[in-house]
Amino acid sequence: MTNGPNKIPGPGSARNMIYIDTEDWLQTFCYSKCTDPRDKIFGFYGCFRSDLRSRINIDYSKEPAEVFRSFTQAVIESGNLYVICRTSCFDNRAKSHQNAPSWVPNFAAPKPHGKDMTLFSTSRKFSASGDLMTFYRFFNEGTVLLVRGVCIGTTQLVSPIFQLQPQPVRTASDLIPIMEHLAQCCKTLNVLQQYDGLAAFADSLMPFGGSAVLPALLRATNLKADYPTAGIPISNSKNLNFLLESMQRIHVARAMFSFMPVEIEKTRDQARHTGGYFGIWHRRNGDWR
Amino acid sequence: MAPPYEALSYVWGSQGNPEQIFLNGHPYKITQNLQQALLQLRSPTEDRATWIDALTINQSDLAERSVQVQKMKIIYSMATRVLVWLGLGDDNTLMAFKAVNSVNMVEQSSGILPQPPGSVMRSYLSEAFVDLIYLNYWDRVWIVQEIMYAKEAIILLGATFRRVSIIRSVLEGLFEHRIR
Repeated sequence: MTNGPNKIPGPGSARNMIYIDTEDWLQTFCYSKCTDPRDKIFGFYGCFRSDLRSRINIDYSKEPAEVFRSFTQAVIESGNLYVICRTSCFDNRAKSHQNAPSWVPNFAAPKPHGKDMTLFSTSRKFSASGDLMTFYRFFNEGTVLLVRGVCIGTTQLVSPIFQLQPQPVRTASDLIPIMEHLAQCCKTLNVLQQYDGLAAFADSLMPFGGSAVLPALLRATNLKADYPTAGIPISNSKNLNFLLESMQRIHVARAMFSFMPVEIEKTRDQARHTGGYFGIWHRRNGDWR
Repeated sequence: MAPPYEALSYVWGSQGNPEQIFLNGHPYKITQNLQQALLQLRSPTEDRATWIDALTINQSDLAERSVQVQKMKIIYSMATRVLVWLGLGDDNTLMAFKAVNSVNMVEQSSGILPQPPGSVMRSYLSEAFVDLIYLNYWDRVWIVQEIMYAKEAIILLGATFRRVSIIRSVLEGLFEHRIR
């Protein structure tokens, strides 16, 4: 479910000049269903603010890739670069999208399992660039985009994708596949090399909610069965929700990786684990702050 | 000036076992979901002017489609009301609809007579309303615009109907503590 009657603007909101902003469109509405991918944009035409609307030309003779390109340009010109900062949109494997420039998101890509990742944003809670003006230029009839910014690092490794189908997490044993995945990620990404063994790695996660997760992980995978149970025993189902929430929150600034394969559904009192991934951005110089 | 009309908001639905209607005297295939809506809406005695995208826009004519899609917001804002067709409904969704009728329920869900989060009443109704908001209709691209521009939006579920605004306020009350 993406919308629901309480998530969409109410009847008459357009009359009161309440429109959908592009951030909300990217986060949720873009995943709404339609037969023609171009309708992801054209179908919301009336929902956008007039300054953006005036830059959209509804023309079904244009290919989806071109519709996505000109929309991306319109959003950049009317606001900020948020539109090109969503990782999930860069699923460029789709045939219909192969003619689009690399900076154009594929808005028809399916909603990713687990949490989507926003790299940068000039709005909402993330505001790395503060009030700085966005610098951009379009060349070659809008096919080349030049932006100015600071390169803070390069993605060097990406972990295996969590392949399991989403399924309910009801007991502690349902968490074992997730734990095994986390352990596999740690190995693939050589996270542990930076630390003096697993125990030190576990310690580094403590402030970020790792205290509950790591002992469970270690026991689940038998990597280090005798690790002291500093956290909360997962055999106690009362603690399951706490554990799930902790797993959602693990985000370590030092190596900058995140692991968020668990989702607690808002509408049902039930948690599910979903696919997720785990990546490391190596800093180029200086410390993360 | 166009005569007063209502605008339908619905999902085209499964193409299996299409139904046939006569459109300006010509046979035309529509989905079961639209046929059920038409059967529910028609009056045996009076004409009813209803705008329905599949019957009024030639989808295969790209130029016509481009023009019509741009006009969508005007079409829906000029309609006397927007009829949201959610299908015939099942036991659960119909129960959610019935519950909305009870003033008591609206007050309880809106917090005037608060029910604690784990209460029987609350979880019973939450289930029914979850089924209602999980209907395919709410995932469709077009409906957002169709409702945003409506003067008045009525949800129809089989032979019952409720205002969109009252369903919204009940949902906000019910899920306030969970939906951010």
